[in-house]
Amino acid sequence: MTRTQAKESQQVDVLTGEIEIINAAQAFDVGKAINPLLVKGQIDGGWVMGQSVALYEQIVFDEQGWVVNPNLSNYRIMRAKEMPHKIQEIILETPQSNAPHGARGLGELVMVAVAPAIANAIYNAIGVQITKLPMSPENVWRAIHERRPELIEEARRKLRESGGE
Amino acid sequence: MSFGSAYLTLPDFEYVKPKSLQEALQFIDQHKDEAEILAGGVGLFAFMKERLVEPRWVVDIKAIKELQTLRDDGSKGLTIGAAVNMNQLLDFAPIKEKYKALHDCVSLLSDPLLRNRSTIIGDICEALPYVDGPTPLLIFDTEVEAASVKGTRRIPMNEFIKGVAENALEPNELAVAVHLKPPPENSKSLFLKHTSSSEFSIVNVAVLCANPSRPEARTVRFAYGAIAPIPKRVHEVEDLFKRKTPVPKLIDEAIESIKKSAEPMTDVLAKAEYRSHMLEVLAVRAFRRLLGS
Repeated sequence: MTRTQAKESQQVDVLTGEIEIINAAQAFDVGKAINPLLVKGQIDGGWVMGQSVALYEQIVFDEQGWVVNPNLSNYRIMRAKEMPHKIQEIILETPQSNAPHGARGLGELVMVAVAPAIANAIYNAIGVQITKLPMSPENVWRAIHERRPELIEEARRKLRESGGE
Repeated sequence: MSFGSAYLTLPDFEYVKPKSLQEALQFIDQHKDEAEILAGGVGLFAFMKERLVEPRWVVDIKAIKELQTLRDDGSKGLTIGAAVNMNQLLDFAPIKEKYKALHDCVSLLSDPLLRNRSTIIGDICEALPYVDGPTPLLIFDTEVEAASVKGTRRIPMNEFIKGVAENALEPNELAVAVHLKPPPENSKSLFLKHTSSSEFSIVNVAVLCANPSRPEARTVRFAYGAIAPIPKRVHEVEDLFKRKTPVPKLIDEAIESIKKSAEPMTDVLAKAEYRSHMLEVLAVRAFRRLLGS
């Protein structure tokens, strides 16, 4: 199977729960990249799909099971301004012995590791593990509020004293 | 209410496009609740797809010359007609110079394509909690001009929104323009908003300030929206800033007062607790930017 790893660096605003992704990197062992540019394009696209699921997309149901956010205005997807400042694509090639040219499929694998990578980067930054998607500002803020409220208090104090800017 | 495939298609309706204001007013006087006004259609078509409104008539007001007014009359204020779109507001220099909070608000709305369609009057008539338009209008003492076949009347902005999707217009009235009063000399204003799980604001604030360093001459105005069904101008805060107390302390007091006056709601976009917290964050940022220190 194709192996994958994603890594990234990012900023978490503990005051608002907003996340800004600075660097994103994904590595895939594709066996053989028959068209390397196409592989890189697929990885970039996969990051966007993955980040959209990780941070924004969510279907909300009412008590009867009807979808209450059926429009793109309230079913939010990622926009261009939310792209990572940088995306790195790393291609590894360990040939697959029983496949043409040693190549393996890439497909939607490119989105799988994105949400865990972002969640782990948040944990790495502030020590709060988030287990619920999407990691919207409110959900991130709530997780910090529950587990490390002192971070928010500190940020609030700074905001009052210096405008936090 | 039926759902399912109804999301995808518009219900049947008749389309009319009056060429004069008189013609439009007569039409809505005749059909009242059976007619819905189409300016940008940004809200209307979405509501129709969801069958929240099912008008028999859709009255397109874009062709009416009288509603294209966009005029700065200096000391008499600013007039924006009902058919003026958001991009026209952004391109109109007096708004950027004197009504900066409104300019900020419009520039943060959606994207250029939608701003080519949507109108500020459509925004306030929609009267949904998450629309941004009313908040900056509140700090400029705006009045909404409503017209019917019987004549016109002016409704203050702070009395215009009555509840969720409810405005102060009668079924035979059309909001033809908003009139903003000129801001005080040397004043600056700004607008901030915060979104979480959707494109819609969960809280927004508009602040105006003149003479920040001279307490006796200082003017501060503050309004918030999107946290409850009705956007609100907080007058208590405005008096408070006339005092000689150091500014950081005044801001602290203002925040307490604002949080006391606000009744944040919980809905599909955000919970009350988060709204209340973000109201504080945005208000502190806005005050600090305009009052310095």
